[in-house]
Amino acid sequence: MPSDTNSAQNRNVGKGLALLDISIASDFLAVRGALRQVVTVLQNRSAPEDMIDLVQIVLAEALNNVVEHAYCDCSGTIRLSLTCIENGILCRIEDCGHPMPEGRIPECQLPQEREGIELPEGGFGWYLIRSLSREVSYTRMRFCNALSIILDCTQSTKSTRIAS
Amino acid sequence: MQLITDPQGDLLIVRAAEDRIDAAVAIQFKDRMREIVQEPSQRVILDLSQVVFLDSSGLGAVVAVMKLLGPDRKLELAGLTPTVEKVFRLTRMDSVFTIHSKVPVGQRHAV
Repeated sequence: MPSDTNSAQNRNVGKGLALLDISIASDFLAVRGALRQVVTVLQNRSAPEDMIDLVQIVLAEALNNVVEHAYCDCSGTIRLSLTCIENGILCRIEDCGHPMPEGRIPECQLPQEREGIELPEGGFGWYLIRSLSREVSYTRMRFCNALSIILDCTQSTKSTRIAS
Repeated sequence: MQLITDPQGDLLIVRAAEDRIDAAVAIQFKDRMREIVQEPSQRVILDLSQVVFLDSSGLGAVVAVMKLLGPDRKLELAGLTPTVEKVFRLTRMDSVFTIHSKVPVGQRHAV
């Protein structure tokens, strides 16, 4: 289970190969554009489909959260960076929108289990992020948010170039 | 948000002619489907074979459409591509729908 610690940020990622470092506007179409770039970068590095899926699913949720919540009543930029680390990819999302409520990542159960609703229409995002990541951590730095997500390389990724 | 309808008697097939059902289009998708499903039909099959990506907003919109149909009508899904299938499975929402690998064209009973 992923841990909610700051170790993801303290990790020395200076050695990691930088895959992507972009800034986008805080809207859903810009998120689509960012995801397209992420997929392209991973395909260029011969990442297998299941790894690309993993990264895209997690980042879609994390970036959409920033648009919907951090920038719910304002707009700004979102910085997304991806770095190869040992047996994984470190994703960092930074924005200068509102802080997370209570300064921490929300409850991450499936909405069906949390609320007992059979047909929930929302609340899946954090569950997807947490259940698919090795580690997720959040920091509020004065006026900005930083979310770090470490994704494990899938089995099929380990024998490819992308695993450093 | 392009949705193409193909009524076949008691079965309405709606094909999503979009690559992505995500946060950018979830509301339009719901609104268009709300109009489309006003046509009475016992079963509605949503053909997602063109959709290569669906996020939790898209998933929520599909669930909302199921609820729009009410208790007497069924929403079925067809042609889930791998990434879309993954999101349904990971959230355990795949068990909530009848899922066909392909649209059962010309058939008027459940596959």
